[in-house]
Amino acid sequence: MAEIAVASERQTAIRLLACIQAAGDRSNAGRWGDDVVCVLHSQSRLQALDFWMRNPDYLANELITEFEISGERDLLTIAQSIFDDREPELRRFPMVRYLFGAFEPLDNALAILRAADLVRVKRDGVPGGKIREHIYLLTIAGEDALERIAAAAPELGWYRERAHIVARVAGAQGGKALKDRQYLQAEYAGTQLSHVIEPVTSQVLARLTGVLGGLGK
Amino acid sequence: MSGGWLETVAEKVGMRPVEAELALRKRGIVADRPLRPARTLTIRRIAFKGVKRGIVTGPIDFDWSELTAGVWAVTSQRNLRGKSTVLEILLWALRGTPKGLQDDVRRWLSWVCVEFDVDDEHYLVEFAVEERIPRGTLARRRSSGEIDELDRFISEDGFEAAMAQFMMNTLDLDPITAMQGQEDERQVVEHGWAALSGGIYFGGDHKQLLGDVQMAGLPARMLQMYIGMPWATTVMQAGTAKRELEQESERASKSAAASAKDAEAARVRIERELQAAKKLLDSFAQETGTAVELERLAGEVARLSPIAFDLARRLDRAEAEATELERLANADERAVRNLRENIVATQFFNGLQPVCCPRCETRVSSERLKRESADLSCSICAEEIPIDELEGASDMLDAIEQRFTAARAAADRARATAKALKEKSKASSNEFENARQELAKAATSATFKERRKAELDVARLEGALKERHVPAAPAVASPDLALVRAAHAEADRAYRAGRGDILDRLNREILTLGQRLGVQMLEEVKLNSNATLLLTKGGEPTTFSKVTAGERLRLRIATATALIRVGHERGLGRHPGLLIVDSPASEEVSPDDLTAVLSELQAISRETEGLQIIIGSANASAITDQLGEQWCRAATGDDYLW
Repeated sequence: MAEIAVASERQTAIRLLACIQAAGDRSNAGRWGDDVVCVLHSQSRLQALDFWMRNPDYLANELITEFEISGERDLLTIAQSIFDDREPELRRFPMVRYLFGAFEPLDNALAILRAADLVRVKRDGVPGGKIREHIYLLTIAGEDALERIAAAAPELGWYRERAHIVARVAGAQGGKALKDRQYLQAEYAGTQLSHVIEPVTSQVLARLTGVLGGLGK
Repeated sequence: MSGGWLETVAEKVGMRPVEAELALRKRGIVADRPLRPARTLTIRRIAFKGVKRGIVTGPIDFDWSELTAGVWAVTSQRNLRGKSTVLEILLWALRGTPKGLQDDVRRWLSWVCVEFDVDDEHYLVEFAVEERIPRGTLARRRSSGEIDELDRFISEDGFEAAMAQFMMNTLDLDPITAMQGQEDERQVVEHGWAALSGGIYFGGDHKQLLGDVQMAGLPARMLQMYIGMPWATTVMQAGTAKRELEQESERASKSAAASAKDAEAARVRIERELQAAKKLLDSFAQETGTAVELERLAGEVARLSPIAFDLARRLDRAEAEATELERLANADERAVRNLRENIVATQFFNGLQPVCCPRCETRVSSERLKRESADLSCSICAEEIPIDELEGASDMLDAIEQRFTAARAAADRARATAKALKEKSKASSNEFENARQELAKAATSATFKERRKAELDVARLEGALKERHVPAAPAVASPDLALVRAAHAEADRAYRAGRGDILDRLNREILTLGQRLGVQMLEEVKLNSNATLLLTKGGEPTTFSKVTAGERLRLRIATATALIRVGHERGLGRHPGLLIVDSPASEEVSPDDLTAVLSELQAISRETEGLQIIIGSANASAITDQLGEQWCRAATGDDYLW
């Protein structure tokens, strides 16, 4: 590729908003405020979810893995559609590998969400000391905004749909556990620190074909 | 008037005389030398020193000098007292190699000197003997007494070579050549001085008339040589060369005949094999595996190969092109989508009212919000809000969308082209592969191999047969053969013309001398050309080999002396006039007979100029009585001569 595709801050903001909305915990959310709809714990979890948002080939691989565990056929259908829609070519936004996994500063994009009070960020920990974790709170306005964005353009609606798939794959696992899963991908783990994570499209496609072929028999 | 020998010979074979002379000389054939009287060899001194060892001891110092022509004798009362040794030492000095010298005596010797004259020239052979080996010189003594060294030697072989060279030259002798050996394997041998010197020595058991080398033809040749029969030497030389060349020629023609026979056998065999190979080849006639079919398949492979290769290359290019165009189309598609998402997102986010500062969480005041809508200054950071941020965005979107549509269409077309090419390339490469396999199959099929082998066999055998049809080269006789034959014929003619009555004259002389030397009842002598002597004794025909040893000795001396005398008479011949006679007493019937023989020999020697006879005999008193002490060296009683 001639140049690495970089998402704009606003696209990133929508992606993060969708992730928080899809993966946030709705129980006891009211504890954080009357207008808080759900809560997402930790930046590393958000980063891990975002990694799958930005790397459709890795996500497809996880879907196949999930299928092999659960046997849910629609997981394969989703994986298949990812390739049919040429997502690895059109929707991949490469990420740099950082010390604990895929990482990209999210502050600018979160600022866009925060300024309009769509999302609130709480920092858990001793005041003045080390921040233990970030906690992302989705407001009613935030959920409403996502609804409106999805309605405004089908391309943007894709983010909300995709975030639900990612959340399904991630389950209730925390950031650390998710990164460990992502490490399992040989290509990912094989990428050196501070290098762009390489695509695994052809391998995953071959895996999918193999699995589908096995089902056909 | 006819030409000379060389001219005639050259003309017969169409050569120039000079060429013919050179060619003949290379074969060892030369014209007869001009007639001239024989040289005369006279012993002047026999001397030797040494030390006796063994049963008898003491110094040896023998010196017998002042010898001249005439009859001389070494004699002892008893046998084995050294008379033969004196003669043997003399022969050693003259021949350069001893004849019958006892080995122990040779060890005793330390110095030998023999002086002799050839006509008016004085020569001396002087050598030291160390452990039997002679080391010394051959020299000429001028009348003034000064010495000219002629040759020197430090070994037995060197001594023999030196004396042979000297004697053959000085006495005008030619080596006698002859063919010797088994039929077809005869080789030219040359008899030189060692054999020819047999003509001056009369010892042993007198088996042959002349000399003592037991070889058929040699005595006859020696006789011809010593009597100086004109052209005899040339006839002999040419005869030997002719036999040698004829043998060569015969061998060559035999071998040519043998190879012609072999070639014919091979031809018949090849013809038979060729028929078989042709028959085999015919049996393949209808098979497909012919060379022509193979050629067609090879041609097909050659035709298809570049097509398949070209298509594969074009496919590679088309696929690369399609991939690149798809990449560009994807980039454009991404750009379209990003732009569209950004437009919507920007419109959406711009439409939201700011609530708080994302940095400090401070709520945005109503004054700031008012100012923003009035002054277009950001309610959070107070920066100027660009109102035209989205202006032209839809134009740009249109442009990128068009670009994307075009790129996608191009990519699709390229992919379609690549796909079509792929089909064609695959078909072409299949076709090529099939042709290749067919060719490989045809080339390796058993039938083809066998047929190919049969074809090759036929071609090979036809070639071999063609080669065999070239007739075998006939044996080429040496070009010298005709020349040598002509030389032999002409020399033989001259020999027959020149010999005249020489043989008759010799016969008469031998008869007279034989009668004088006391051969009983000798009535007729007939010398054959092969040097056998037919005799008539007491009315009965007999031969040399059938008479007694004493008579044989007398006849030998008579023959040699006759050669000398007839030679003198006619001014030719080569016998040097020296006779060395070693005769044990047994051959002398009685002292009276001996006295008679000696007396007659003295008379003959007086009649024959330059004749020198040196006799070794055991009958001391009879000899000294007859010859006189001054002509003898005698040992009396048990004494030794030296």
